[in-house]
Amino acid sequence: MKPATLAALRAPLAFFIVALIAGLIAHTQTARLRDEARLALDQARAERERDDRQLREREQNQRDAALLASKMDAITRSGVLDEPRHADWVAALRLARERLGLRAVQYEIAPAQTLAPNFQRTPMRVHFQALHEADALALADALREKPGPWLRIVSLSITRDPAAARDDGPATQLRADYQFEWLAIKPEGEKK
Amino acid sequence: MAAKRVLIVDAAGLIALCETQSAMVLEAEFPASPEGISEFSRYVRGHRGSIFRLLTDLAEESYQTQTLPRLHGLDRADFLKRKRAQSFPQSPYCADQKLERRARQESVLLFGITRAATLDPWLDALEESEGLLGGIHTLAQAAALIIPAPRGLALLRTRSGLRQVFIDDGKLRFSRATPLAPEGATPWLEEADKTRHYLLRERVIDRNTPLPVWLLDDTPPPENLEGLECQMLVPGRVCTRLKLAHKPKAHLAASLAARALLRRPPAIQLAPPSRRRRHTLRRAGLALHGISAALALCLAITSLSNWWAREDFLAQRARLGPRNTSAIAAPTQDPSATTRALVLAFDQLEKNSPRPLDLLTPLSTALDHHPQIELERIEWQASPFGSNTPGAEQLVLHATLKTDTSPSPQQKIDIINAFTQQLERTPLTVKILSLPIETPITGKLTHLDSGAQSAAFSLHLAKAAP
Repeated sequence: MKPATLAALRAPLAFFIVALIAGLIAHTQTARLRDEARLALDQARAERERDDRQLREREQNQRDAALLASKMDAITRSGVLDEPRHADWVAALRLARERLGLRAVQYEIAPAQTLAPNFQRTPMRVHFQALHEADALALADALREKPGPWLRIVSLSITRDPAAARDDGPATQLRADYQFEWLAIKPEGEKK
Repeated sequence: MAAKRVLIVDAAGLIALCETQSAMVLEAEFPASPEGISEFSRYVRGHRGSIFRLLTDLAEESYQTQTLPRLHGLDRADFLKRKRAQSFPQSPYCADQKLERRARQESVLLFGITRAATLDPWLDALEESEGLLGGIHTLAQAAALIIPAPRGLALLRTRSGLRQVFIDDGKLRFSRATPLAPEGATPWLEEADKTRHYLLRERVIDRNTPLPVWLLDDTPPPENLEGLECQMLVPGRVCTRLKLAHKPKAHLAASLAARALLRRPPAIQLAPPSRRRRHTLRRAGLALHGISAALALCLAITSLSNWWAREDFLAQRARLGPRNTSAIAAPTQDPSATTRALVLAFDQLEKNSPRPLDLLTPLSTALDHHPQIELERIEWQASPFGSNTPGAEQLVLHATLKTDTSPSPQQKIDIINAFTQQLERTPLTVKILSLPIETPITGKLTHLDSGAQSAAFSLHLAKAAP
């Protein structure tokens, strides 16, 4: 470009350069401000999402803790954490015998043994005669009435015994044979 | 917007006209003398921002129709440049206009000013006074624009004489100026007839077709010449067509041609680039200004858009509100590991403690439907503790068939089958361990020994898999 031409176009060129530079500066600066604002917004959203998640987890943990506490309370009240007491079982058995009209009740309680981690097992075997199947089946519920270790039925055998009917008079007589396990929970710290 | 002015150069001098919205105003007349030229310089300096278009009405104008071989691109441009140099050896003020193209040839009108010295003093003065030259046109070019038909010969009376302009197919084909002493239409027609004969000789027009002649005058000619078809270009109507409110009082034809030129400037003009340099630079400057303004506008719009987006982001962030950190940071009471282990152990106890009633209840229901079956013994067995197979308890029952009559083996089998089907609907899986017949069972029961007498049978029950 000739100097004369350049001189003639000096003002428009200057305006062009000024407009270009000013426009670019304005554009880049506002773009930077916009990006900063967007970044801040994204960060704030991420923080809110994280907070919400933490709050939800916290609430869930609180609900779980409350549920565990209520379960623990129920476990404590059930007596499954207590030491096995044979006298209580014998008393419960006597009471059930009277209430259910059981006859010829015999029982054997074996020594306690560790069944699995956290569990102590005391096997018990009960033989008796009953008038009806319902009476025989109700024995387990009767033994569970009082707080104490968990009663698990291992096996049950009910046999119709016509010979017994002839001796005692009633029309039907049943012979029942239960195998129970009294299961007590032992926390880890209490294991020996 | 720059004012538009037309400078009409003829042998007598220069006439300066200025265009307004509805008139062509005669601003000045400068004689063709050194004084006139210096006066013209002052005039130009006084209107430095204007764009001047030069309109020539000179005897030193030439219009030549030439037939060229058909060429394209740069070859054609070079060829035309050489032709122009041959036709106008002493003048750069010339141009070419395409007329018609044939298969191998094309005809071109070369026209321009034959003697540059006629124009140079005025153009030098214009350039020295920093005037902007928009272009140089001939009066014939401008006059062609006011003829209301695509073909005809226009007769215009100007300061330098009679200007005849012939157009064909809407394109300028020929023009000549002749001194005109007496007033009136008859001498005009005589001049038109001479032009007609010239055009006939040049085979531009056909002898049998009358030539339309347009006279820019208010009064029609008293008589028509043979071969001419006179028609009037009434100045009032032309003014209306060119949106002029008043008929120019002086230099009528030149003023109308100037108006037509400014309203529809022809693309072809005679000024070499060096003469139009200032105007070109001004246009380039204006274009640069336009580009700059457009660029600035675009960048301003994007900047505003960015700013609004930023404001929107800030508003959205403000709407999110402050963080509730206190609720998150508040201490919580986590259950201890021992508690969790105990609860887990208790759950394990519950899962591993099946009840005999789960199997005995459906058995009792099935027995109600089959009173002929009497239980002798049931043996219920839980799955081993910790086997992790809840529902794996099983029941073995021993029973007898009690009927008034002695049933056949098939009847016994039918009763037991009905009983097992009833149990399977509860749903339980049933396996027959023994039947009240003495024949050993292998596979499906299809044939029975008629001599069987036993009534005892035994079944194995378990919960069906879900």
